[in-house]
Amino acid sequence: MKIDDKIEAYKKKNNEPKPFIGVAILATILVFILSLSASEINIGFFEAFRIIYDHILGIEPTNYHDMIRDRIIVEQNIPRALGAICAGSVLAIGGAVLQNLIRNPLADPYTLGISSGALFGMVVAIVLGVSIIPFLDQMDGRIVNAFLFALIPTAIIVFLSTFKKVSPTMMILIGIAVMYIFNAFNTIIRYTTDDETISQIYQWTIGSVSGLSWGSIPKLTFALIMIYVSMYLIRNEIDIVAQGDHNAITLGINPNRLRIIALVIVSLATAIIVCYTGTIGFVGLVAPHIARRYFGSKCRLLIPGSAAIGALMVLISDYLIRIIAPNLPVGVVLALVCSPIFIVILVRMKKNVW
Amino acid sequence: MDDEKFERMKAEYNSHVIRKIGFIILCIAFMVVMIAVSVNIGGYDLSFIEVYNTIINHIIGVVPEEYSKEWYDYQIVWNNRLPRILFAILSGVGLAVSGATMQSVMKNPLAEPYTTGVSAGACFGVAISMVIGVSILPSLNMGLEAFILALIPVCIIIIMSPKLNNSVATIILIGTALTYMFNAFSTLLLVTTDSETLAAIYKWQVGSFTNISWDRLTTIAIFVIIGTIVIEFLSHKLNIMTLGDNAAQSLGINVRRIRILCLLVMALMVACIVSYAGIIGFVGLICPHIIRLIIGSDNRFLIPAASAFGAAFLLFADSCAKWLSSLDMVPVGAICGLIGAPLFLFILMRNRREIW
Repeated sequence: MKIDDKIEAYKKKNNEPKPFIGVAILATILVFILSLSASEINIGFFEAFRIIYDHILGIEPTNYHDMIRDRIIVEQNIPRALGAICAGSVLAIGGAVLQNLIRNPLADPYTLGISSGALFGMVVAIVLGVSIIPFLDQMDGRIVNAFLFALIPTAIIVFLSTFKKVSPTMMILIGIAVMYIFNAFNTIIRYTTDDETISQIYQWTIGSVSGLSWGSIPKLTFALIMIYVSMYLIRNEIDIVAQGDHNAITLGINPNRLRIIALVIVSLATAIIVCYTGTIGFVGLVAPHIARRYFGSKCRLLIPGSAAIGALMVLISDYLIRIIAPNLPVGVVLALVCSPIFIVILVRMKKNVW
Repeated sequence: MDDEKFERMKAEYNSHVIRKIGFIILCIAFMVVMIAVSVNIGGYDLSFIEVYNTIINHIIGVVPEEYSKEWYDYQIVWNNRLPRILFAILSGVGLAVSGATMQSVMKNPLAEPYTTGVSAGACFGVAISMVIGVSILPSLNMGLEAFILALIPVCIIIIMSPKLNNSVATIILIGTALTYMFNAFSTLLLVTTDSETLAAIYKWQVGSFTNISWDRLTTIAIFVIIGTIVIEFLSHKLNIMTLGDNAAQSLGINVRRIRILCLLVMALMVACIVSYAGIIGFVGLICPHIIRLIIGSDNRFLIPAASAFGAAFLLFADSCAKWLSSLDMVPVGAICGLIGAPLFLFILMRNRREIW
């Protein structure tokens, strides 16, 4: 009887609504709506809605004034905001899942070496002008290069762990070792090129969502749906593996296989994001930690929570850039705005999640 | 337990210890050989005998005539090559020791000397002095500014640490957040500058051992040697701390105080190295792991072994860099990654020990 009561109490506690996720999602929608009108030229808040409404109804703008505004909102602001949401949530989900599976609070999607691999692909394309798949125009060639190279570290991790039982930490360390090799090549290539090219590469390293157009949105959305759905499907398994490999094996889960599957999915999704936005740091590490402080470490809440917080963080940073400083990269504002908040949250919360 | 079994275990333990000490001696021997080889590598062509003649002459006090060939040899060997070699050794010792300690203290294999934000602070200092041209104290060089700013993140962590719920994960996360924040400050400065300054700062970031003089070397040597000795003295306590904070406390160790002492010592060592050499990655993170794979995670042996191996490895990488191009075209950090990462993967795949 007593155990039944406990189960009831647990279920009740588990199923009680978590208002904070709702708050985060609402805030994301709010900032999304706000950011529609934010741009370098002055567009009124309601004017923006009228323009979108007109655009949906297919009413052609009659004068030059309206046409410019139509272009800015539809071709620039909306894809940019959507891209920010996708990038933020994919990175945050990836970080949350990796932190749980590797059992290390310092893990984020880039610890797998994805960013340096992508950077290497990009550097190869920019400096040497070589693209892996021929007959693409310059921009596409760079993106495809970055994507393919971004997957190499993960491929090496998977390859090595088929030969040998590799502990989760060792997987990450393999990723880091491969990252150092790529970084070394990057450094050598960058060292030998002219300053102009270096600053071009540097711009890409910082990461930004400002260059996104409608063409990239389907791929980014695909990445988001892929990672969200697959991680949500294996959420219970991730929770069990997070309790230790022995427990997982006892409960009939192969922890290494699960880890490999999750690694591959996370790196695919992150690689897609990195190709289009460059390396936006910080979200992948910090958003899951903020989410952990509010929802605990169980994936059922952690995955949607991190996704919402990650999206919110990138979106707010991008919004601030648009209204304050148009030339700043999003990663910088993200770190400036969110790291003090993060530190305050870490200090004030008494709950010990790690 | 019967005596015979006890004796056998004791003998086994002793043989383990001897093997570990043997490994440390091997690393030191490798380092000495590397010093001997590295003196002969450089842009200016000097024969083996000339190099050693110059060194011996200096030691026994023979002063060469000014502007003679011997005088030039003396300048190159004594004022260029030897400081560079010693600098590489000291940096290797400092970075590897701090890396090993950081991993032990933070109980996290991904921790490295820069986890507390030392590198980001130093980078910000260099960015300030190069972009704005302001220095905190006038008439001082860039190195000091980098040094002071490198210590700021650690100071913030230490000031905040009483409020931190006594959890190492929180300390690391705050360190990482501070790293991102200071990097963002640097980027704020860097996006506004021209590509020439950007390239100059990039070259500082990559790290190199050129441009070092004897008096700077003394400062670094004092910091690194004292720091290493302090940490080696603490290594017993670090071993106990790996049991967990509660166990360590009940064995009479003031966990928080030792953690802060370690953080402070590491920060001083690394800040000193970074402010002159730039941000040299890899050694601090991977070298301790290589040692852990070979001799295990006992801090008493890990720290001296890591220091000897780190020094030898960094010296080897720097010699390769010098040998590949005398014009400093190939940065030492890149060589570290190129040589060290495959080595690490190789050792990892050969090894059967579970270290983390």
